[in-house]
Amino acid sequence: MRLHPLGLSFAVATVATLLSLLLGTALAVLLWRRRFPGRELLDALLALPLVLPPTVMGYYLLVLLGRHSPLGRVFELLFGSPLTFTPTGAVVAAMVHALPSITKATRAALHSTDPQLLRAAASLGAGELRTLWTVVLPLCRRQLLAATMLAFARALGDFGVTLMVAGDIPGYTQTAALAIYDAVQSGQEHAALELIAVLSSVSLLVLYAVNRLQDEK
Amino acid sequence: MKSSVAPEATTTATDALVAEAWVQRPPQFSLRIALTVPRGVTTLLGPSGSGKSTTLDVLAGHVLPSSGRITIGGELLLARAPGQLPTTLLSPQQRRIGYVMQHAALFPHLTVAENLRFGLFRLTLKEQQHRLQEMAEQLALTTLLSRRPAELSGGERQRVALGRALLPSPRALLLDEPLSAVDLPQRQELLQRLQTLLTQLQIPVLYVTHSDWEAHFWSGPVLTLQATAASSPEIQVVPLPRSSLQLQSQ
Repeated sequence: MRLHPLGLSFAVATVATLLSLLLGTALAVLLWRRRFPGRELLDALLALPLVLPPTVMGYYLLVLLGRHSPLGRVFELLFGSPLTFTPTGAVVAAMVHALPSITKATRAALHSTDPQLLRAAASLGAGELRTLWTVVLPLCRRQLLAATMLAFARALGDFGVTLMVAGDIPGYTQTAALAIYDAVQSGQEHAALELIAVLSSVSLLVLYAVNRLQDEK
Repeated sequence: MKSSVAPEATTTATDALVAEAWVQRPPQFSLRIALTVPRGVTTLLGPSGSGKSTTLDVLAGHVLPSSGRITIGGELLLARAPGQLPTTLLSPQQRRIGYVMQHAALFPHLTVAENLRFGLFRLTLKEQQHRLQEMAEQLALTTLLSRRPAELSGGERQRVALGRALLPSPRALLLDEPLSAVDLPQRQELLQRLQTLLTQLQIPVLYVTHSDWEAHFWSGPVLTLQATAASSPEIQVVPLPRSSLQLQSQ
């Protein structure tokens, strides 16, 4: 059994999901509470990965984060290794799927917060951050957990963006989804089936758990 | 626009809550508020939809009026000329006005104790605990402290909301129909408890209700909102000594 692609996939999806949870929640809160120039654009940009082909998203990321781009250079200067065609690149690729799903679900949850509770908290002297931390987010925790689990499942399954941004380097950036493609191409059906079985059961389990979470509401 | 009855400065206690404001939400809603709430309980009486809750929201800082001026104990909370941005605008957090909402608005994920303690975050834990115990005893909540709002009766919820609003020592207290979500048998008891507590308070209290009976229970001034004929765009006001309120609506 080829452990490495699976291990890498789970590690990449976990890191991507946690980063997306932080960034996605912050963005959702920003879009919920603030009106600023470019708000609509940011909103649309966040939904773009849901409609664009993964190769197009991957191409944009390559241009944005490649070794010759300003961001790519800053990253290389700070961390001593390039962002693209590394496991870090695979994390960025996975975030392309995880971030929009977390932002979307979190915004829906935030909008369902009872405005009376926000007013009560404000009249008791609590600022926006305190209210967010002690009232809003705890009340959304079930939806946040469901969104996080879905984001993890989506991050785990990426193929196209990872291929464009991180490449398909066996033992280094080859995630399970890429390894399945390679295995099928080279006639190693048995190896492919093992990976397919693991990915499918994990995804099924996550979806089942998410449904249970939503039913309990 | 009708001119409002000017608050009588001579009888206004120095810590009174004084407001004069316009709220306009075209095309339907237009509310003119001109009121003085002296120390003690003042009742605001009127049918539902007449703007009572909006009046409270304006005082608490949750609704920004199109123009107006609000002061408490002489301190300016809001100043806004028509068509201008406010020159002074204190946030609800800065106003220190306690607000007991119609359905209590308790935080459902927090226990009674955590709800009560919510506004005390600037104090040490020891001080929080001390004040919490004191308030819980006054409101007969000591046995309920570990419960969650969903496990309380309507009357108990209102008591928690009242305690929660009073604990941070507000400069004024607003109560929006505190008996509306309370079962009939509990109302008398809650009202008695409110009376004991509110008359002790040395702050302006504005008690909003749609029930004549409740309004007459309190001996303080009553501000009345009365809808006239449906064709009339105005809601007439009966001002009582020391307090006045006028309302226009479409």
